[in-house]
Amino acid sequence: MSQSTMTVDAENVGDRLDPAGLAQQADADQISERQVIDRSCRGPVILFFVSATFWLIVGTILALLASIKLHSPTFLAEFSWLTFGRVRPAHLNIVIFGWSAMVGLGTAVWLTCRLCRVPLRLPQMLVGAGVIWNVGVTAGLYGLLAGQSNSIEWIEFPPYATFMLFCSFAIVSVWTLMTFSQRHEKHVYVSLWYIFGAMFWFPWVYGTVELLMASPYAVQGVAQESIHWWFGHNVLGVFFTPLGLAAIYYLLPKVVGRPIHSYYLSILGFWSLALFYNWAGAHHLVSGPVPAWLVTCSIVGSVMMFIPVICTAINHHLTAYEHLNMLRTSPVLRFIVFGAMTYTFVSFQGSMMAVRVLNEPFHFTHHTIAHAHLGLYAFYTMVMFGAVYYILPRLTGRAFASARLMRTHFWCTALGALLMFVALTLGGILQGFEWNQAGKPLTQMVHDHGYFSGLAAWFDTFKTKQDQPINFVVVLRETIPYLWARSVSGFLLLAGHLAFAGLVFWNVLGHQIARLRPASVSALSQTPAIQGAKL
Amino acid sequence: MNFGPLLFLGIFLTFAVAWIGMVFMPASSLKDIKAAQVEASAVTNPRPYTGQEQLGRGIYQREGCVYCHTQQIRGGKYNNDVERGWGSRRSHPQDYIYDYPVLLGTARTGPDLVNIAARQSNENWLHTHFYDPQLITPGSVMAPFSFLYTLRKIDASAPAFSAPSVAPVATASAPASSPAPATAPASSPTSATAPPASPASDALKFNFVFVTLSGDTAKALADLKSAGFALIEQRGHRHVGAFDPAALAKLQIIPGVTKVEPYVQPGYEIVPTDDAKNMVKYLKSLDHNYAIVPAAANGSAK
Repeated sequence: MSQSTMTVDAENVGDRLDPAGLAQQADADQISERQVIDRSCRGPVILFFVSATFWLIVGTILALLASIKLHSPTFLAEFSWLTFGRVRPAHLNIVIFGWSAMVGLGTAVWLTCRLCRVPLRLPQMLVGAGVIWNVGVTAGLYGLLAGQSNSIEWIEFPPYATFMLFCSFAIVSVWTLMTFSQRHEKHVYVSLWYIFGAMFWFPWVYGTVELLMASPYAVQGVAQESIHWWFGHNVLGVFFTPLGLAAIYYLLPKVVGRPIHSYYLSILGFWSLALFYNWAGAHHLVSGPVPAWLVTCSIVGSVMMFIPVICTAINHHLTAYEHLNMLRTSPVLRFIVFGAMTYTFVSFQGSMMAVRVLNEPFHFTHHTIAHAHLGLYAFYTMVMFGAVYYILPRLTGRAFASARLMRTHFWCTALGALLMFVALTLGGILQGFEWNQAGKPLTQMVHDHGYFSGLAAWFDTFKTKQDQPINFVVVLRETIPYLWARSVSGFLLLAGHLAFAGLVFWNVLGHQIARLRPASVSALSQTPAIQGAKL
Repeated sequence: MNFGPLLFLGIFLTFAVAWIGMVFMPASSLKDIKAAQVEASAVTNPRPYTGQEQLGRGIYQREGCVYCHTQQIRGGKYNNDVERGWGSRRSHPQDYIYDYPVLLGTARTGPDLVNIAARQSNENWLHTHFYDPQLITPGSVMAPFSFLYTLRKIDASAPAFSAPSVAPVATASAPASSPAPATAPASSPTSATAPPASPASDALKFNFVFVTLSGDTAKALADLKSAGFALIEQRGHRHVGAFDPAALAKLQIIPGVTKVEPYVQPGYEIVPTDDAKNMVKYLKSLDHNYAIVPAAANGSAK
């Protein structure tokens, strides 16, 4: 028992001793302080995590429905509540507001307490916020499926749901500010900067878009779209990205046992993100009916994002680099490193895609969907999985039930995300070429010339501009295999999420249903005290 | 040193600057765009939506059309929006002044719709396409909106479909099978007019037929084709195609054809609900091919 238990324990709570002695070991005082703080976080953070996990499953099922309907349109077509145009926004809003926001807020609350070195005060506030948030998401889901969507992407929820979400978020924001102002730790670790930014910026973008686009005070004409995409991009840029980065900046050093590579670089990364990211948005409207200066501003902002992304990339990858062997034993690290690597990639890709020559052909294709999932899933969601695996055992005092299930979760989600990205990117490239260049359909060329020379011949057709663009429906039919591949990836992701949900619910209800062993105190508290983040 | 206030100030200022650039500036600079008066007439470009069109726009929002259809023709050098025939010119802010919200869209799983009325204004075509898109565009992945239509029993006195005395029509399976497609205009999408069911009726007019085959399917299909049956696609064990419902008996006698069923169960017709009618009215209002008068000329005209 002892040998295997020890391994499982160390694996399942996500960290280990620091072998190189690079970081200062936590002393007894710090360990007990951590325990006090973790215990104080228990109620609200578990509420956020459990709700998020529930919404993740709901959102994944909706995603699968939408994906299947896109290649088999008659599937469940007779139910108006489940028509593609309702299921798709339901999926998006549930995974954004149900899963991503809730798991992010739970993580942020815990990180705030740890980094401010104060036990969580006024848990009733956060529990109330969590309950309102859940009611809001439920109401929003009902509204969308019942046909009350306003069709403004990312904010389709009807006003009553939006209002609840806004109030709930305001409570969390106020709580964060309050905790921050009462902090015991004078040093503000970089994770806290990001959290602080996110808590302040999100109500601003959300309030702006709801007021100026989805309310009776909406502005006239295409200025709406500028505001819409300023929100649409910034909900990622100034809310989810900062929360994801905050989690990486904290968990990565904790798990590998050495401080972040360059603290000053992380500060540069933060301020350049704050400066440039919020100019993005109008690059969703390239060559559209908006003033060119607006689009150009956004393109410049997007390309300038190379600076914070490179800073962050250097920091993350150099911190993780020497400890990659730990990927074998630490599930937390596996998720975090996967997320960090994806963040670098998706950001580079995003900056490139903002440029006109790439944006025009590939906008409106399935590639957009691939990019969105790479950012919000392969980066943010994977990091949050890691965060839940790290935080939850410290709240419940119990190790996760099965390391094998955690590995299953990782491989299902990692491969699923990869498959979805590859399939939709290829499909999108196909669409982009065939819509916007006058050439020959790929299927025809492959049929005529065989696979490889057909592919080469296909590329060659685009060198000559012809008068007649390829028929739209021909291109549409060519993309169907890629849409099937996306559905397959959806099943993989669902399997991974069910494993995750099983682990989370099992852990939370452990003492009732599974007689889970308490994790040893030493396993939970071995985490080193990192420079700037002692707890 | 306490960095709290400094941190807050930085977070506030960086964001405020971007807010001014991306929200305030476009909102204030685009708010004065007006519809252009067409010379010597009461018409404006664009014209305001009628009440029904506005209601139809609500259905467009409700059913999420925007997730597959854009409403913008892009300028720029690297795309083929205009060459594709989707519009005569790049979309202009003036086109959207009556839109709340503006639905530019982000995906083209289906074609752009900003000028759909210029390409297709036949109501029967549009309704048939909503009801069962694959009848008109085989291979389309558009969701059918059959739930926006009702199956109505034809009044006994009204001239009905020529009662198919021919086929052993599957009366048992028919009534519940509203998703079963109806009869539609023939192979050519533009010629969507078919035998008038009842002249005053708003029912969909189309003439699609299901045939069930056995044995040598290829031979049977060839025979069907030469008899005038325009095959559309295979659905489950049946083939759907366009054919004059008055002459179903001609199909019945082809070897290999075991069953012939009209798309719509005899004695019934498919009727659009108000939602579907308004939606079609909205689509028929989408035509932004008018010329944009440059701002200076516009001003002097006033």
